[in-house]
Amino acid sequence: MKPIQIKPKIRFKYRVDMSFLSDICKYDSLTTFRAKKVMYGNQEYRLDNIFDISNGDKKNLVVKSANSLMDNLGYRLKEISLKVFGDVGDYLGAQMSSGLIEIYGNANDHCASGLKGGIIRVNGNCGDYLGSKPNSSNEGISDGLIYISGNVGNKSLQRIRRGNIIIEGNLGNDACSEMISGSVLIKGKIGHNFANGIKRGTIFTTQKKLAKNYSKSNAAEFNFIKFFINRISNVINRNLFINNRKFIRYYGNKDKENISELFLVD
Amino acid sequence: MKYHGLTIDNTFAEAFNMKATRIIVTADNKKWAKTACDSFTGFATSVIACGIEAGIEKQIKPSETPDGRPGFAILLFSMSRSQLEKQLETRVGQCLLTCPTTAVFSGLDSEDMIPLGKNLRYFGDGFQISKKITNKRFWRIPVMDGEFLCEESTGRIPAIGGGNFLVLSKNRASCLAACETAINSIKNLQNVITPFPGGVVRSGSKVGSKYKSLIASTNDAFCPTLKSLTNSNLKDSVNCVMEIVINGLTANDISIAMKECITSISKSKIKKDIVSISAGNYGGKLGQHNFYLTKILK
Repeated sequence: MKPIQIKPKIRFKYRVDMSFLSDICKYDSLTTFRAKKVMYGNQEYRLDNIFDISNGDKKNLVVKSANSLMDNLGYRLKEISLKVFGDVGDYLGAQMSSGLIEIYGNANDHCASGLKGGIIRVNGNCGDYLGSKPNSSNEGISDGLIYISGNVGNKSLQRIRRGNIIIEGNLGNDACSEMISGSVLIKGKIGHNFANGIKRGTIFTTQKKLAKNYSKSNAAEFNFIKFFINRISNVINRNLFINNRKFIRYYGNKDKENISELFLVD
Repeated sequence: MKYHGLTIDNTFAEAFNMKATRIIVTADNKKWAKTACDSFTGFATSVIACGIEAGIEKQIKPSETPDGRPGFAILLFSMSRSQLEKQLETRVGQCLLTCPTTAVFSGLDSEDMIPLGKNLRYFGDGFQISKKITNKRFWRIPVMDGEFLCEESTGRIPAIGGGNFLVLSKNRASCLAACETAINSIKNLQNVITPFPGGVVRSGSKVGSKYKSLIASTNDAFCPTLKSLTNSNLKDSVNCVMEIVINGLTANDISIAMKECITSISKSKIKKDIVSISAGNYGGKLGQHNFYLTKILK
């Protein structure tokens, strides 16, 4: 069955809350879904007045001609595959629990805020506060996988509890602060004040300067690394930058309550 | 009936419902993966005294294992969930965790999951690290050669144990050769194992004994030395009987394996010394599955 295609009919001037897309499976028919009313500017509109919505599989959505005024795309998404062509606004995939979001463009701030599961692939750059803590929660990402092919802004990945994050570009300032656990792979440069107050977790980086707060552990072969690379590569469907590279393992300082590990990629 | 010139007795094998799981064991090379598996599946021939029945199901190429290293799949069968859990945990802890370079993964997905490395992780004494990738959790336990990587849990599914057939032969050499031929023919068959040593049993048992404390004793009806003493099922020409016990995930898997085994014997030169192929049963009253030899070979 073909995916449902959603395309704006008008050129947006105001921000649009796109979280309605995550509820598409709750509607018996697409006719009732199209009749749903959403706020645009200070007025309510039927969905079919501002979007072209084709027929197709409700579990498979494609948004075309997206732009950065579209907020909350994939909000609390569950078991739906969402593909977006174009830039997207804030809170992409916020509190998503399962499914797949793939963006061919850039994502704005608070992408993957409070992510609970599923996969987010951004083929572009990401704004500030990637994987931020949602309101009413003291933890950022609690599970899931994020792949960003470009750069990521400041204050990202704060207090992440679990999950795997791969960043092929550079990472901004104040990232990974108070990280509780999880795995973060960063290919590019990393801004200042990285991993401040980190407790546990695994970091793969090419930046030697980060190792200064860590103690050198060993260069032993880890079964885990090969397995981890294979597994993540299969999920994101591309080769990881750490594939076939050598690693040196560093360990945090137990006295400072930092028992995180850092793999320096040769 | 005659099957490719081999006499097949009109009887059936009686098998039982069991619980099964599959694990995948990998290591730096095939030698150590096999060593770990041999150790793991040792003393796992029969639930009567071993707790579980286990065996190597197949060898897996490095490209098909979760961590890209040589590996083997092991199937484990037990009568109860608790016994399966206990034996799996004990054997992983004593035979795989201890074996150099190994890692262990789940080989089955199911709604019913049982612990694999879930409790074993405490061996890490607080230094163990958990990694969750998609919906699966893995544990990295620090050990002296690096890390022991194991999946947190593995799936448990209903299965069948005790599919069998008996090779009735004129002499011991031909009986053993026929059994070896049969076992070789299902060496790479999926979803089945032959848990006994080399896949062959020489001490088939019947239920009960004249001694009250024993639940099973020698199957005197098929013992050639007791032909004149008991109500023997053996013809005068039979001087040796060996049994092949097959456990499988489904009845169809067992049927396919039994057919494969008997066909391989029927096509071998050794068949001239085989008097007939029979099967072990308890009158159909104990087991939930009956495998009729003539039906399987049709």
